[in-house]
Amino acid sequence: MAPGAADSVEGLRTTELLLKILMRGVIEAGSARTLAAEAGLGAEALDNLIAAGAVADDEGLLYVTEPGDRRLTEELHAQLAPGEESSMAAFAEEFGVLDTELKSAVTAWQWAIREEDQDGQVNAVERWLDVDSRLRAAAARAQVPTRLFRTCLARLECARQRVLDGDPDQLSGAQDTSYHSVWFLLHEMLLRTLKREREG
Amino acid sequence: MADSDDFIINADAKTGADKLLIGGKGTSLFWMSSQGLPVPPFFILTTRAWRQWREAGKLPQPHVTKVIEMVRWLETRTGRTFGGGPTPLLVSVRSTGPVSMPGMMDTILNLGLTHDALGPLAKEFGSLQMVADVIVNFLGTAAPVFAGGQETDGTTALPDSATDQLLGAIEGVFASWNNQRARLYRRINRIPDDYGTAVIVQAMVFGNAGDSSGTGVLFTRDPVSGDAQPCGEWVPAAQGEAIVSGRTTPVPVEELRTAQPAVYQRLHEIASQLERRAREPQDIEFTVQQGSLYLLQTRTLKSAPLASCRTALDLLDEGLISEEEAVRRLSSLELPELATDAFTEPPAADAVLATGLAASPGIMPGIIVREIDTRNEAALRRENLVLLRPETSPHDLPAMRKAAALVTEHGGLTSHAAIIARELKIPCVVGCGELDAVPEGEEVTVDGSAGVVYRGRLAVDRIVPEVVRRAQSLMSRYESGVA
Repeated sequence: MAPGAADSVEGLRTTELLLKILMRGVIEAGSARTLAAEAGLGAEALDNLIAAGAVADDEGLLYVTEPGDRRLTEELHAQLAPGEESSMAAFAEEFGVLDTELKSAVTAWQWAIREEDQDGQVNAVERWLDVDSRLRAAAARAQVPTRLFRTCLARLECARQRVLDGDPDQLSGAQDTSYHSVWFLLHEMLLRTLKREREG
Repeated sequence: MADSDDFIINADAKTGADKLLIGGKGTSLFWMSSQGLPVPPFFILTTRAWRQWREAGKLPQPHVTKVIEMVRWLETRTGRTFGGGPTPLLVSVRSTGPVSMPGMMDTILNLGLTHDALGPLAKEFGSLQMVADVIVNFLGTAAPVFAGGQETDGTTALPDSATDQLLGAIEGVFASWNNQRARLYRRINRIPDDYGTAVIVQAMVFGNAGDSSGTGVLFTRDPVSGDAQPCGEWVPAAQGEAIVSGRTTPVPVEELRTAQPAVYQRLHEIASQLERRAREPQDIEFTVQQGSLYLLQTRTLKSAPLASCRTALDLLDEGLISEEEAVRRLSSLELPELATDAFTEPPAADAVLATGLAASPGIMPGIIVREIDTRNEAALRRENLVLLRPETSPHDLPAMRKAAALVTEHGGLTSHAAIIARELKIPCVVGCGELDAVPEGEEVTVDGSAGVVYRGRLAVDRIVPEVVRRAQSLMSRYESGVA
């Protein structure tokens, strides 16, 4: 297990910080310190990541290095307790099916918006809500994802609510908070947790 | 309880155009009737009646009595008999909400079709085929309503009493305000749940009553080009939903001009009248029954942005709207987005670097990068960066937001990369296959509309349509106070 790995609360928080920096691409040092504070970590946690070579500091602009990227995968994988890998793999199988359906529904949604096809919009939303409820059922059955991806699942729920409350841009938008973006992140975390490569 | 006159009104009522009370479709029927246009007689149960139905859980008795009274009025106006011979009156029952929710709620056609009405109907129109068509349309639209919105297996029992059919249908259409799709549609479009729906009960006319009958839609202007020439679709010898259901292939409405010149001429005159009064292009639904024209609905035509731009300028030229109004309409359009890119010269065949799927439209020259970070962020300020990735991960999102175009080796039109590129409105080609040999910094041109990546920085012209130039000129003159 990599240094600072997920064998403690602080380890988990460090993993979360590394993930957040990765998702930002390139981030100013001040913003990175804010992220650390939000994760319940002191400034020294960021310094440790830089010192360990997981994060590069290029004249005040920070980004996750290739070793840092590998470390993140190791730390996410390390969160699986012995015996949990098969349960997570079964969840990944279901997720694969749902991922295809979700992307198809979101594409249909974009098309219906472009064409101002109101019937098509409702069809797409119904398909999306069906995928969403099946994801939650699958996560609850497997149990492990509910524990490991708690934050992601909560963010999906927030995005779902925002769409249903009349902010449809939160379904397919390119912002970090949209349902599609959070789903994309959840998929990435799932792949890393199982040490799998993305396909297509 | 207030008098039922406040809740149920007929076409003769002196009513204002209160969309909240009688819905968009109801408003349009009253508007056309008030101009003396040929609209089949109708009555409307208002949204206030819907509220009372919701509170009581059923249609209150005074409203039932009033509905029956209104049916007698329809009989008088049409000279027909509801539910029987010698000339049966059939009606349609349709929702009409304050906000359009197309296809979300129920509509019943040919209601009043009882055993007593079948024979006289066949005798009147002299066609068993026509009666069979009427039966199919009635059962197809009524069965789901009487089954409470559930899937039907064709065995749903419908009342044989015309009055029972009508009262059941009215309650069914009221109830469809709260079906799952309608609720979902309202949620995502922020339409208040308590608006409710009104219900239109209207005498049926029969577009399926022989070769001199049919149904159609007429647009007063071309909804794609904005050309001020009426166009539309026409289905001969067909009824009601034939066009929207897709069961029949329509022909251009101009064919009506050849088949029934007088009807076409009258339709043309009415369309022009409606457009001039509305000062908006119209989308008109009509039916022709044995050579007689009837109007079923008119509403503002939904046009493509370029057509809307052209129409606003044309209506200004025609003196139908003021300059201020034209500018207001043009302001609601994204005029810069109406320009398109095109290659100055057609690209040579040997310039093709890769082909894939056209995932997000547009043409963009730039240089290939595989990452966008501090090492090339400075270049970003000078160059358009084309992000080339085998596939995309969530941590590519910041780079994608900075890219001018996106190319992936793997993935399809529903891939994450394609979805995000469309949101960002940047050209994107996906599924190009292995591109390992393409060096970092290579100059390319991405054609996201054709799904091709070309070698080199090809010359691209920004094509601004003449009508957009005129609109921009008018708006800038207006903003500077010259207009």
